Amino acid sequence: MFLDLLLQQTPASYGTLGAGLAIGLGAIGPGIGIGIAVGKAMEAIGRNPEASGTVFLPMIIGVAFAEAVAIYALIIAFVLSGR
Amino acid sequence: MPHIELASPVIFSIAGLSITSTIFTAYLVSAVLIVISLAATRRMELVPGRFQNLFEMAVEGILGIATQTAGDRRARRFLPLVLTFFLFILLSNWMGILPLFGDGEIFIRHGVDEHAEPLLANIFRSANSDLNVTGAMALIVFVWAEYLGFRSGGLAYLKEFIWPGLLIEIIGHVSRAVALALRLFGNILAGEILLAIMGTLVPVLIPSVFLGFEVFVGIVQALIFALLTLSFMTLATEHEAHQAAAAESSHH
Repeated sequence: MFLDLLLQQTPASYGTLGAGLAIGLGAIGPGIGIGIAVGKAMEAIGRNPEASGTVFLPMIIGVAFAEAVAIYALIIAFVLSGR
Repeated sequence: MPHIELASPVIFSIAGLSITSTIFTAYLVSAVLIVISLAATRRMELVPGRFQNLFEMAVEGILGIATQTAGDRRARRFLPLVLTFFLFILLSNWMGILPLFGDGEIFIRHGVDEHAEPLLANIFRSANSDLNVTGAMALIVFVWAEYLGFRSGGLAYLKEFIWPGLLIEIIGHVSRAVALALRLFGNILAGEILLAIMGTLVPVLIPSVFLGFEVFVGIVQALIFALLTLSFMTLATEHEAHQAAAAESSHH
């Protein structure tokens, strides 16, 4: 039955599957990365509340770098689902 | 389900130059930005009015952040480009979530499809949801940062590309410019799609939450683009800063 299901698929439907997998798997790494970055920043602000201004901006830049990876996955997903 | 095209449609062309909806919106944003900047700086007073105060806040805010990263002299030198990018991206992101922008508002016919049905295209679309717009800005940043690096470092700057890794440094410089373009494009396009999908799934109340989120994303992405522009130019001119510091210390 499962084999039948696999054989019925057209190449386009594999593209849709790939798009879902691309963004789903691609979001894992950046999610962990952003979590670590923001968590550490909050820890630093908690220890030293006066430094919140100087911690916030580098954190935002670091988060942007981590987020870019998820954006690549998103673009790959668009390209795959647009076919 | 709403369908958002990756490529923005051509809405008209002037002398063979195709104007797409995103380019049209980018021109509109530029025009609005020029008009309000002129209006804010036309009669500047020592005690600023409300409008002038808003602009002074933006300029001083970005200058303060830039001084932290690049030091006082370089921050003032790089401010015009960085602040222009910040204001342009901020205004186009925020104008992009206005009611008339995006899917299903103002249409123009741009031909017929294979079933002779008219093809409709939005006139207004958030400018940064097109890779060409963000790519053009990233190209400006790339070329300008490399030029600054070569001018300030000369042969020492070129040597960095050859030694120790021949390809690594070149790949690094190109890929960070590509990432700069893709990051802004991806965020804004994802925002547009998110709003469109939420608008069809739950048309009541919920989209307004996401509209608020997009306002936040708009200013954060503008800030990130401006800050990364600044840090690329700062990295490129490190030689100059070292020489200036050395001259300063030997002078005293």
